[in-house]
Amino acid sequence: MLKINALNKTYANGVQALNDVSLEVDSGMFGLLGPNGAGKSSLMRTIATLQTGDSGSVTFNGVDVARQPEQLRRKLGYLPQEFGVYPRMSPLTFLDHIAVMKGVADRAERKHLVEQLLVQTNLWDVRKKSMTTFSGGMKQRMGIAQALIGNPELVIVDEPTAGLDPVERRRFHNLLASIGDDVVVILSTHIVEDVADLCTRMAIMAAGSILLSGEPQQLITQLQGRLWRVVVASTEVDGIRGEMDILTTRRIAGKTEVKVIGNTPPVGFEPAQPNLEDVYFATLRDAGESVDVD
Amino acid sequence: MLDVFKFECRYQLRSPLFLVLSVAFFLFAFMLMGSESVTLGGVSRSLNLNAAWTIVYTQFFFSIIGMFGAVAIVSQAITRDYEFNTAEIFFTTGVSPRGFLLGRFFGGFVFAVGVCVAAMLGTLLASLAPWLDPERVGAFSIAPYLYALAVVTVPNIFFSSALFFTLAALTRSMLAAFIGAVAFIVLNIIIGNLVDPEQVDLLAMIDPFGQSAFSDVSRYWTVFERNIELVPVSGNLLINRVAWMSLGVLALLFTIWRYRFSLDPSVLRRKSKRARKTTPKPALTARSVEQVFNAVTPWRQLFSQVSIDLSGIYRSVPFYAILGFALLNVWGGFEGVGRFVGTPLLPVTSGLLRAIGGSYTFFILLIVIYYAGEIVHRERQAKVAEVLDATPFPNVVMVASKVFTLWFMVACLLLLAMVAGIIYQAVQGYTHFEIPLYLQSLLFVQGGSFFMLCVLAVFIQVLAGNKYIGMVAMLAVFFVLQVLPSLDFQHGLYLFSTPPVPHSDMNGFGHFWQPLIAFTAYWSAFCLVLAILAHLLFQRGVTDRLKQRIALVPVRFTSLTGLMLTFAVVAFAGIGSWIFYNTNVLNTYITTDELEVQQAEYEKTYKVRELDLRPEMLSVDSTVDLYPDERRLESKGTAELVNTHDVEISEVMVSTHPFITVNTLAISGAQRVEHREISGTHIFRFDQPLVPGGGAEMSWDMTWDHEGFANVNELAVSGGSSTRVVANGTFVNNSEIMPSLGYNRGAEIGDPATRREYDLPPIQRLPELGDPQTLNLSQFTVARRTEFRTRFSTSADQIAVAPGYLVGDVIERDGRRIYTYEMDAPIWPFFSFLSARYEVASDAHNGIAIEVYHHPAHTFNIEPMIRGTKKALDYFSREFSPYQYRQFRILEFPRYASFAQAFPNTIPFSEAIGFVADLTDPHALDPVFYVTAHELAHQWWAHQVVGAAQQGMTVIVETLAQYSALMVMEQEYGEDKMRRFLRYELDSYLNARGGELIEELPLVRVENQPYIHYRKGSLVMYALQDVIGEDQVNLALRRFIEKYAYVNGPFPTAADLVAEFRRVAGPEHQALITDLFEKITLYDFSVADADVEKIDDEWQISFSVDASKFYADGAGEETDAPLNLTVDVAVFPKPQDTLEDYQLPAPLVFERQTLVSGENQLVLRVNELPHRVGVDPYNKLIDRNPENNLRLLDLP
Ligand SMILES: Nc1ncnc2c1ncn2[C@@H]1O[C@H](COP(=O)(O)OP(=O)(O)OP(=O)(O)O)[C@@H](O)[C@H]1O
Ligand SMILES: [Mg+2]
Repeated sequence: MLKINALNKTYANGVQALNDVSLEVDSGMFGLLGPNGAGKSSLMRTIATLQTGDSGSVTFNGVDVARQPEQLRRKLGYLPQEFGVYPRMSPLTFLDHIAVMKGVADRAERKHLVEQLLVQTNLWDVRKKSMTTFSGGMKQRMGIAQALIGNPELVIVDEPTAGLDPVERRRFHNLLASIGDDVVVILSTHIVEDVADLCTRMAIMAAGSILLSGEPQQLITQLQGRLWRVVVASTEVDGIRGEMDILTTRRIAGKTEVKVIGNTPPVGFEPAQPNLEDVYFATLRDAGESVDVD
Repeated sequence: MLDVFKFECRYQLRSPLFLVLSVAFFLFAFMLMGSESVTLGGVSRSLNLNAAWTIVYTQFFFSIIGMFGAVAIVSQAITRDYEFNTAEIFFTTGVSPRGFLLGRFFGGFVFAVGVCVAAMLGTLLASLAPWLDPERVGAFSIAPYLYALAVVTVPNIFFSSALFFTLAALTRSMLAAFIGAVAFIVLNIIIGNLVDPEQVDLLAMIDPFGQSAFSDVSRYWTVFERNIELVPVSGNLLINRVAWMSLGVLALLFTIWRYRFSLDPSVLRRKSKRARKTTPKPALTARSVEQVFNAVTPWRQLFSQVSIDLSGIYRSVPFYAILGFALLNVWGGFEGVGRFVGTPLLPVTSGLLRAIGGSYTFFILLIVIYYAGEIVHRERQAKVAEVLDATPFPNVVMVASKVFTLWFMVACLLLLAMVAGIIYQAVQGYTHFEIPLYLQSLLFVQGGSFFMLCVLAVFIQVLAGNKYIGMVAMLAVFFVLQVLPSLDFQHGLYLFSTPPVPHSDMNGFGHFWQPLIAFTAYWSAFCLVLAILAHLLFQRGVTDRLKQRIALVPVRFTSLTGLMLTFAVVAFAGIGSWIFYNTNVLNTYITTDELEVQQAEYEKTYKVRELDLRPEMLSVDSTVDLYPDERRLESKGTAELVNTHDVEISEVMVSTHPFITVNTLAISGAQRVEHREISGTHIFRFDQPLVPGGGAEMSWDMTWDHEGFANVNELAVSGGSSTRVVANGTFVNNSEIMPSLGYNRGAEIGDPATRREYDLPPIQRLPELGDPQTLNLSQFTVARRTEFRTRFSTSADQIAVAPGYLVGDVIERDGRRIYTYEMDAPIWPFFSFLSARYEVASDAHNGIAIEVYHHPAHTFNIEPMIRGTKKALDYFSREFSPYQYRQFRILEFPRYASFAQAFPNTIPFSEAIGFVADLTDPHALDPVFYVTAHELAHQWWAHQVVGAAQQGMTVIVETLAQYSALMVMEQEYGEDKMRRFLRYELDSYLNARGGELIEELPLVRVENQPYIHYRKGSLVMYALQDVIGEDQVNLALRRFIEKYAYVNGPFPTAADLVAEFRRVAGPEHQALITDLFEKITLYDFSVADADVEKIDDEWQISFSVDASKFYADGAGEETDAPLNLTVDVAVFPKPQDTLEDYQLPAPLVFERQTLVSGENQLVLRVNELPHRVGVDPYNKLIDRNPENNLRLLDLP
């Protein structure tokens, strides 16, 4: 189990990226949602031993990550949000190297493992090509492959689906789902569906703080019966905005759908079926973040 | 474009690169000018510190090294966008490619010039510094600075910026630009080496920096001219500047034409067209993998990481480019390896190794500095760091991998040098390949410090956290290490390098192994500390700041780290203490400054005794026991002293060599009243003053041994003494192992500026010509020859040789060999003692035994030595006087020094010069023959006749030996080769004048100045015999010998010699003799224009000759003098192809015509097709511009 306790991090430029973050993550898929700059990557890097917090602690199965980074790294699979490749190197060579680094000593075992991953990430045909020539999505899949090398007990993937086409995204979902139940997987994303589809638990982060955490379904239920919608001409939106607090607006076929939260429906509004996105918007709005995109 | 320019300027202003370079250049320039101990090679210490010439020359230097700064700045300006992936943003902003390029270029260029201007400011400010020696500071003038900016800095930086900007823009790679720059420099050196040095115009053109053109004009400038004059911007210099600037413009135009905004660096891309073999996808089978973490894991990780890092190197094109240039670089070094009067030396491995050390060091250094940055930051730059850093490897794996990768590069370069060396030897037909020697030297002896440097470079890069800062920091560290010794910080305990180890075929690496191993172990321990620190401070994850990384140290510090660190520190400290014990306790650590202090003190204390009358040594009986393996020598003996003066002597000063331990030193009837160990000075006072004719006995017992090893500056501060007593090839002389009488003028500081520092009066190198007080003292600083006998023993496998003849049998006992040598007539007290495992080649000539003692492998040039000896013996005994000995011996000694020296019947001759010269080219001058003849001539000019110890004395010894050798050479090799030799002499003389430290003197007053007594001496004597005849000169010399051979004083002076020449010369030549010997005379002849007319069957050549004559003063300031002299004029046909370029064909007509100052109209007629006309075509006179004496004719 991963325990994060009162973690704080302020960068040298004064940005407070983590603000008293506490979180407990059990095995299973954990989704981390949050706007740009929320501190998701900072949090994940800290867990992945790539930086240290100013205060607070991260422990994984009782191992203090800051004190014994080496111990954690042995059980870690990590996909950074942004990464590059060695110029003129093939995925085969690179994955083999990562496997050695991760302690996979047996040569045949390593070969098998790397080949499996190449197939699973659909990179088999390009396994000997220079990675310099890879497209963004191919590179991303290579990143996923390396994160899964070994028997990671903690997998941290930072926006793993960014840049993947729908097929590959699905392939990734399946791959991730197959990892095993006793593995802690933390995944950050901006795509709410990813979380909805995959995660058993989730948290929403903004401005360095955890705003909300729980099971997606349970969070959605909390909005049940409190969310209302109306579809109006775009010109009328400003009028509504003057009268009440709008949660979201969305264009639908030339008109605009407006959603609001309230215990009673405003005049002309009909009940809406909440989804995770609504939860996300509602949480951010409650935290004072601007979510009105018009 | 202006916007881009402004943007670029703002960027550069804030860029650390510009700032760091400017500060570095400023400081460097400031030091060069402001500190007398740091000077640029090629700048004479006799010039004013702020001499106009020096200011310009310094800017040449800065603009050449500044080229690399310029490359960095401008190529960064153009490649930055790719490196930081901001290119996309830029290309869509609507700037035109041209505007973008020019804006970026000029933005970078201005700052590249700025860096050099920083250097200029450094020079300028330092030249105003109050602490400078006022004697060496001329009046301030801004002109040289402006001149340097306009003629040197701006053109050089412009073309180099433009050229490499182009390269960087088109390849999108900074590395390519750097390699281009290195290649450019190397190519330049190589081309410069390949072009015949006589092709002055061509050389001036192809030197991109214009330095050649600049030097051509100022080459023969004297101190006076260099202080105030600037080379006019015309002729070659102007053309060169314009040409290279234009090339820069062309490069820019080309870039504008070819450059496209695109992200595809297509220029260097290779397309791999491997057949697409489709391997079937393996089926998905679940199989669990085992992760093993044990003691072997880091090694596995290291192995994998090293192969990844190496593949990054050997898969890159630049690496092969570097290897290629390295190859050219060493090859160039081999080509330039020790030429001796133009003749190549055999490519013996020692010589090639030396050349590799010389030409390669800087190259490897640059590679290490650059690649350390590339390799250490490779993961970050490629952005794989975040992936890798989260995998479970200890930091040390990455650190070690980076170090190994650099080592691999360095080893490749070093082994490449070996391969190149072997190929070079094979090509030259030299097949004695010493591969173990190559490996030892390259990978350990010479190469060891490179490997250590790699660790330092990696450490600094880790610490710096940014590759550019790291590179600059590493350069700075290296610079400091280079400068420290000249600031008198000379101890090997902090200089981060292994001691220099000379290799000699005779003595191998000799006793240098011990300090080499000690210092290597010491610095290796230090490197281990660095590596551990690098491990602790390694940049992992997002820990950019050093402070953050330091905070991580406690986490990273494990007990194993602690153990290793303790071990490394203890080893470092332990070996360091042992080194300290050796260098500072067993031996004395002394710096060059301290040495000067001692010299100054010696002079201040004892100079007063210089002219004290002293007894003469009439006989010496000595015992010298040499233990080569222990490097120990015991010297005992007695000398009979007699007061040869007509006054009483009450005190006598005795000098012993500072390095020798004096066990006992006594003079009968005298007490030692003063003793200074540091200078080896002993003052004895006679109980009863020594009456005229009275005698005493001096006896000594001294030990010269070497305990442990001395500091790395030993070779420099010992003046060569540390390599005298060695395991094989010992060569010592009496001044080192026996006491000598009187003050030693040779121990004085010669450099005027240094003398002022120590408040010493201006040096008087020698007493005035004709000084009556020294007429009775010979050049050997004694007045009497000595009877000499020595019992000289050595180990059983060596032969020991001293002057004199072997008496009785060689006694062999107790693993020793004992030789007794005795001379049958008194000789000058100038004795050599040599011992080595020699092989002896013997011959005889007219009853004179000739023996060459040589290293068994060095059999190449024994024959020419013997032949030279015979020829010279014939000529000298016929023309001068009989040879006074019945034996002549040449002995080889190790290449720790490269000279030959003439002792009575004994000539020690360095391994580096005669024994390994390559005499296979029949056109080359034969240095073996020349040196042999010269040294043999000293048996006459030194051992038969020697001058009084005053001005001009070396004319009698050295100039006459040069003349004697010249005449034998001319007889053997013909006039053509002589001319070539004389041309070398002329060139050396004219070149050396500008480096004169005190004052140039006329030949007759020469004060032991080699460029005058050898170089000018040859020219003067050759001209003299050309005009008055060889017979007449030899007649004069015979008379001179008759008069002065074996006298006991008064000794002759150079004036006496000139008097003999005047006696045989006839009245018409008296003025010439005055000009040759008694004045500093320079001529300038040139054929101004020439017309050819065909008259009947004949060709008539009318030409005008510009002629002038100057007298120069001691500083080189010239005044016109009226010329009236008969000079050679000649017309030459077109040379046959078979002639070497230095040879002139036989003239069609050759006359001597009287020329006067100014224009002379001359007419010559020939009956064959003429080709060239010349005045003094063979350069017999000292011509300031020897090149323009010949002129090609335009035929009608
Ligand atoms: N190395 C760094 N130095 C300084 N500030 C940083 C650094 N890394 C991140 N930040 C700042 O910290 C804040 C959080 O950044 P972080 O990358 O953790 O956000 P994120 O939630 O991952 O955003 P995104 O969704 O855009 O990836 C941001 O304001 C960012 O600018
Ligand atoms: Mg992020």
